[in-house]
Amino acid sequence: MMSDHVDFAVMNDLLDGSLEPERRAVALHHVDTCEACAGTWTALRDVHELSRSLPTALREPEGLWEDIRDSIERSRTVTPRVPSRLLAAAAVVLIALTSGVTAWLMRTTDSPRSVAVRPAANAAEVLPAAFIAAEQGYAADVAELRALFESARPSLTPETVRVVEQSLATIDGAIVEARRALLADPGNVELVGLIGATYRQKIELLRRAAELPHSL
Amino acid sequence: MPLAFEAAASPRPAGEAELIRRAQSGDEAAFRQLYEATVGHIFALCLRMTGDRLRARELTHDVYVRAWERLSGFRGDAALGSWLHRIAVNIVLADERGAKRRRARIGLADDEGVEEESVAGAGGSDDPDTRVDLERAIALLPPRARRVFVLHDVVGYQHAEIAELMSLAEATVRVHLHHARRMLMERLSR
Repeated sequence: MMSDHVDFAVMNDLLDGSLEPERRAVALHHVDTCEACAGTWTALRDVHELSRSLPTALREPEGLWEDIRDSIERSRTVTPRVPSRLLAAAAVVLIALTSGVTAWLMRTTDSPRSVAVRPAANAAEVLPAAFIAAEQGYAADVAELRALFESARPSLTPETVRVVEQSLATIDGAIVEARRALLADPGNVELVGLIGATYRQKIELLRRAAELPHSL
Repeated sequence: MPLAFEAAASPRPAGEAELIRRAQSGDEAAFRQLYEATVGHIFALCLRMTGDRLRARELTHDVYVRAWERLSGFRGDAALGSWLHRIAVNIVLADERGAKRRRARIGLADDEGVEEESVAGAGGSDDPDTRVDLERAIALLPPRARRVFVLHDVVGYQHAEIAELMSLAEATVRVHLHHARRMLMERLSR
C-alpha cells in the first residue's frame, strides 16, 4: 500500500537523524524490506555521502591575492586615525583618487563632471553581451547603494556630501570616457577589466559613504 | 558536530597566533600567510554557494578585505579559519539580495567554475568524475536550495543554524534541503 511507504521528507529526517526512535525503527525496517523505498533510500544516502566527501578546499583563482592586497593597501591609506567627519570624507576621496585604475582612466578625461553613467543607445549592438549584462548588474548595485547614501545624507555634513559627490563625479567621468573608448574598440579586454574595476570602486565608495554615519 | 571546514582546518596551524598578532599590527606579509592557509576553503565555500566562479572570486576578495578591516577585533576565541568562514557565510548570504539581478550576467548553468582543482590534503571523492558531476549538479540548483544544501550537507551546519543565518523558518530550510537532494539524486542518476 502506498500509505505504508516512507515518504521522501521522512526519509530525509531519517538521514538527518531527526526522527524519534520509534518512527526511526519503523522507517528503517520499511526501507530494508520495500524494494521501491530501498532504491530511493540508497540514492539519497549516496548523494549525502558524496556531498560530505567533496574536497574542503579548491584552488583559488590567479591574481586574487594581488587584488586583495591592492584593496587593503587602499583601506590602509584611508583609515582615519582621528575620527572626524571631514577626515572620513577625505578618506572617501582617497579611495577614488589613489586608484591606479582611475588614474589611468582619467588620463583621457578632460574635465569630469557629475554625469549619470548610462549605456549608449547603440551599445548593446556594439559591446559584448557579457559586458552589457555585467554593467547592468553594477548599475543595480550602484542604484541600491545610492539610495542608502541618500538616506544617510541628512546625517552628513555638507562638506562630506560635497566631497563624496565630487568623488563620484570623478569616477563617473572616468567610466564615461573609458566606455567611449570601449565603444571604439569593443574587443579590448583590458578596457573591460578596467571599467569593471572602476565600477567596483564606485560601489565601494558608495558603500563607505552610506556607512559614514555609523562609523563616525 | 564540527563543521567540515573546522574539521579540516583543525588543529590550528603552528604559529597562527603569532601570524595573527603580526597581522593585527599591520604586517601584510603575515596576513598573506594567513590568507594562503585558508583561501582554498573560503573560495570553495563561496563557489559552491554561488555556483558562479566570477562571483565567488569577488566574494572571496570581499571576505579577506573585511577580515583585514576587522582583524583588530579578532580575539582568538575560535580558530581564524572558523572566524573567516562565518564572515564568508554572512557575505555570501548578504549578497543573495543582489543575486537575481546578477543571474542575468553569468548563467548559473555555466559549466565554468565546477571543474576546479582541489587543494592537496583537502579530501575529496576518489572518483574525480563523480565529484565534478556533483559539483556541476550543485551549481545548477535553484539559488536558495543550493545555499541550504551546501551549508547543511557540505559544510555541516544544522537546520536551526541555517534558519537563523538565512532568516527562514526551520521548516522552510528543510523543504529547500529536501528539494535540493531530490534534484541532485535525479541529475546524478541520468
